[in-house]
Amino acid sequence: MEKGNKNHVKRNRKLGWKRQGFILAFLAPTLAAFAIFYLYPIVTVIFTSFCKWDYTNINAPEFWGFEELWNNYQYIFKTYPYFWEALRNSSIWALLGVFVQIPVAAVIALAFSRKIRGIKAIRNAYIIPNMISTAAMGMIFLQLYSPLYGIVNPVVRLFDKDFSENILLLKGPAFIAMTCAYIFFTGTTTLLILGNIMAIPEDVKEAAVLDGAGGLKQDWYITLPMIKGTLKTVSVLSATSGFLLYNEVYFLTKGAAGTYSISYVIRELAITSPRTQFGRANTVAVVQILAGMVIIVLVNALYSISFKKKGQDR
Amino acid sequence: MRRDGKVKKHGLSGGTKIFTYICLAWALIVSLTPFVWLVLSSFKKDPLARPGFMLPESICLDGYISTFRDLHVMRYFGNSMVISFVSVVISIVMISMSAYVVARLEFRGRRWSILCCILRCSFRQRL
Repeated sequence: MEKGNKNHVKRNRKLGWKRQGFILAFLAPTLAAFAIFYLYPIVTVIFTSFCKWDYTNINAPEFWGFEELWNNYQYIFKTYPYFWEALRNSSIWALLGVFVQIPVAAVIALAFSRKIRGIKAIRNAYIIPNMISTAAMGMIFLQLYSPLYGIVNPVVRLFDKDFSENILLLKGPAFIAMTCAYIFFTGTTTLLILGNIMAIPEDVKEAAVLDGAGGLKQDWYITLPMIKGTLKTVSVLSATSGFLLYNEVYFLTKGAAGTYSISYVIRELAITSPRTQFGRANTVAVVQILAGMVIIVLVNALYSISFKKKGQDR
Repeated sequence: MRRDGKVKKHGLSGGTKIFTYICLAWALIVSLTPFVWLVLSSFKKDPLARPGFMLPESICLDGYISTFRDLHVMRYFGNSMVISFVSVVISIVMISMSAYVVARLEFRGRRWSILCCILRCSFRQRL
């Protein structure tokens, strides 16, 4: 890295403005797209979250004024019945993303990295659920959970003969059922981790074997610390996707039985409810954006703490 | 490892092997259960009459025929293909250009541009 930096400095002097232009030209499309498709909407969302903007004035959002600046926020936090439930659910899903999805994905990726006959077929099979869109997956699970012809109710009936209720309408089981509908399909995450495991040089593994660390020991002490960068990235991804969970809520319960998510609340405020309330929906969206940033910070902190400890132990 | 000091390259100990096979079995179950159920019930005449993983009485292709004849799915597939193709081309060109710059060159504001890219994933869906 040091050497590389020196080279950069040298090249920097040589090329000067040419190099700057090159960097700018290559970054420009991405930054422009970022500004148009992300920054602008976000600024709009933040601004309109302080506006009166609902079914009465759809075309002309109206600033609440500094007296009533927090009007929308007060409504969301105090009056709107589903906000706290949604925030709790989404946070739980984000936590499950980091503490269940990632370990499952990592363990399966480690299993996939071994050299066993037929492993490629299993790897390919594992991607199938990810090729089916989450919407279609939601439909499949809706039918699997159906009390009339699903496969969950017959299993429950083995223990409780008279069970005939819809599992998605029971408070508690509904949440678990919804979680099960997405949490085990870690195809893309597993692929990312697997790619990084495969990129570990063979001689590192051989050295580990010579030192007496084979199999699971090698995975724990050598492989996992070596791929911690990837683990961190995929943790952020799966935490945020857990926090943004929407399709499953929409297709399975529509928020019944205590399964609201933040994304679903936004949709309900903005579209479904007969009194469209864009301003308040955007208030929730601001909360969502802030929460996304908190998630990124928390995951980074978590990884720097846990891997530092491990380093000291050794 | 063998006694004579030679390293057996990919030999796995018993525990590791069992653990690995459990993981693989789990992966197969998770990925194939919904798929198998989907395929099975697509061939059923009346899924209500033969629920769950019961085999269909006879293979019934009515669902497939009416899907292709009445629902214009081919047009929908076409739309999806066009959208995915265009977005793949645009994003690969754009992202690889800036990823190269960010990864290989040092410049002011490098960290900021990385941050911009990462921030995206925290609010994709409904904005």
